[in-house]
Amino acid sequence: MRETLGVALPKGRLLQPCLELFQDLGCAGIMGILSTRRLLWEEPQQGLSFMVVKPADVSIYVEHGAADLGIVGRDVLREEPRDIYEPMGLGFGRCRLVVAGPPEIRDQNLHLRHRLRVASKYPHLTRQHFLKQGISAEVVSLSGSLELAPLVGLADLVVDLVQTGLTLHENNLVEIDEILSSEACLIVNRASHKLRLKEINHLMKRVADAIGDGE
Amino acid sequence: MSYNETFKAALPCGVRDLLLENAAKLSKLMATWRQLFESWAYTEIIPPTYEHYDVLKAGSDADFERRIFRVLDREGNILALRPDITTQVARIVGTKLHNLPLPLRFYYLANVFRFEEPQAGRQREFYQAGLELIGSPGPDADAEMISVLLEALQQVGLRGFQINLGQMAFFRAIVAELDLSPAQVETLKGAIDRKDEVGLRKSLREWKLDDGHAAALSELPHLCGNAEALERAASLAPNAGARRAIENLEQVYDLLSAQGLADHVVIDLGEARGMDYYTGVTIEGFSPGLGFSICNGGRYDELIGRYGRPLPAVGFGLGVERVLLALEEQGEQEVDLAPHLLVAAEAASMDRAALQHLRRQGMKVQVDVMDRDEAGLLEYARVRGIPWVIVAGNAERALLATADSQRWVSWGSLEDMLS
Repeated sequence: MRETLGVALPKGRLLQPCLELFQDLGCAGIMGILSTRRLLWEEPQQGLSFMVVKPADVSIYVEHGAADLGIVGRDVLREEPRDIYEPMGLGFGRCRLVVAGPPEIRDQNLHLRHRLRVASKYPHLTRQHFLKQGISAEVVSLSGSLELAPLVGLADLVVDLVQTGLTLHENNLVEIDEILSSEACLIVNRASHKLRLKEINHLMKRVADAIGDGE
Repeated sequence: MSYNETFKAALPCGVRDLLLENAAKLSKLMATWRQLFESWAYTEIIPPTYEHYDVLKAGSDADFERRIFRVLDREGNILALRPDITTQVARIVGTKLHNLPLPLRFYYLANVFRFEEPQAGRQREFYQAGLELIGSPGPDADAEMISVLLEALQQVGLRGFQINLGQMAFFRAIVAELDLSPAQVETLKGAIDRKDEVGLRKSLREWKLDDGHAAALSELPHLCGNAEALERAASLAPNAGARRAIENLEQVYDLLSAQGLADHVVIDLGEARGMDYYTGVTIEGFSPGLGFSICNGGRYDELIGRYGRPLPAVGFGLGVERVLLALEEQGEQEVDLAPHLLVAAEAASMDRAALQHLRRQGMKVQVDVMDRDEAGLLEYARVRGIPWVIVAGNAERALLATADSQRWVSWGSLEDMLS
């Protein structure tokens, strides 16, 4: 077993605020992660090791116990539910997963459409959302540039993350419905939580204090 | 055409071939546990691999039911591959064994099937070793279950493991008094399962629960530790049922402490998960370096009643593959599959009784059936790691060889030579 606690951090937009958080906790050199190709970063003084992985992989590392803890957006956690603890929202990385489409679709009764095609990076949440309303949508699973899909006839609607709504606006799309609101969440492996409860509680307390200060 | 295409190597998702060392390790573990369970006077129960889906379904909760492997027989009946053994034992006891004197003690070593994504440490087919103790509602029975479990893990050499004891009756007693819809209870359970305190408190506030109940529920994730966690839980218990639940867990804990077994045990009331059929003390085991539990169990006083005469019961199941992973994680010794002695076919025919004697002493004696000459025998022994080879023999003596020496010995002295 590792001496340190392993923490999986997500590449991408959440990485910078995650690093700032751990810098506040005393990991003085942790910004170095941004300028190295090393995938494993040790902070022995703090008793922590960091691994930087794709956002969707964070919960995989944590579920299998390859990392004891992780930080990942709630959107990712809900898209692919895993058997992990999710004790804290961290207050940063806030965004919303919304259904959007061209303005004219707002006035339509979606139940009366012969076919509804929805492009999304979140096929599972998207399908669930529409099935709950009794609509069997065709979900087109894309990995980026969602807003393009309605413009070129690939989809009638998109399900995408929005922070400011600017991208939607620029592509002449309007928000129709909200699926969930997301923020960065701290997640913990179940066995680690049982076996290393004191260390993890201590770390969580420090994290809670650090976020509290920031607000 | 490649070798694999010719011989069809493909397997369906979720099953595997257990080969050589892996098979040996698995059966060695199960043999150790068989002996242990029998020494505690448990008798083996061997239920069928599949049964009627409806019958197994009656003992499974909704979430578990989705994971049952279903097949159709030729008459169109829906059958289910067993997803766990406890439900089968409940059916058997409830319908067939209710006239036997109580308690009943059963053990099982069996494969079970669950239709889910192959996950950490688990395929769709995996092995479980477990006990069921039926007929006693008392803490003695729970304590016996936990002491045998501790012994089972210690006996196979696992170190540093931890058994978390919960109490489903605590959560149930609190929730029973509240006027919550099933959906609300699910929301609560979900938040507790995720240790999502913020979500938990938010729901409790929204539903305007009274302070006593809300305090007990929102403290659940922190009711973890040893005797002092029990004290705190007792002080938070909002009603008689919840108090009784904590007293019961305390009795179990005290029984274990009195036997000096509390070291590996942690009180953990912060779980509402596990099988729907658990009604009392719950058991979950963890081992350092493994991200998932190695065993699960608990009291299920209402399950047998779903099949016939209601009887209280408690049990646990060990995930055999998961315990193997835990042992590997701590660097456990490899098993040695190599025979102790290789005998040339002609020599073996000289004194079969002598070889039989060696086998009865527990030695693995292999007779060559490949018609190898002396050099061939020694080379094969080298590759397989066989320390001793009889390369030739007559009625009185055998020519016993190692990698670098040979000598004639009498058949009768072989046992001394090899040990």
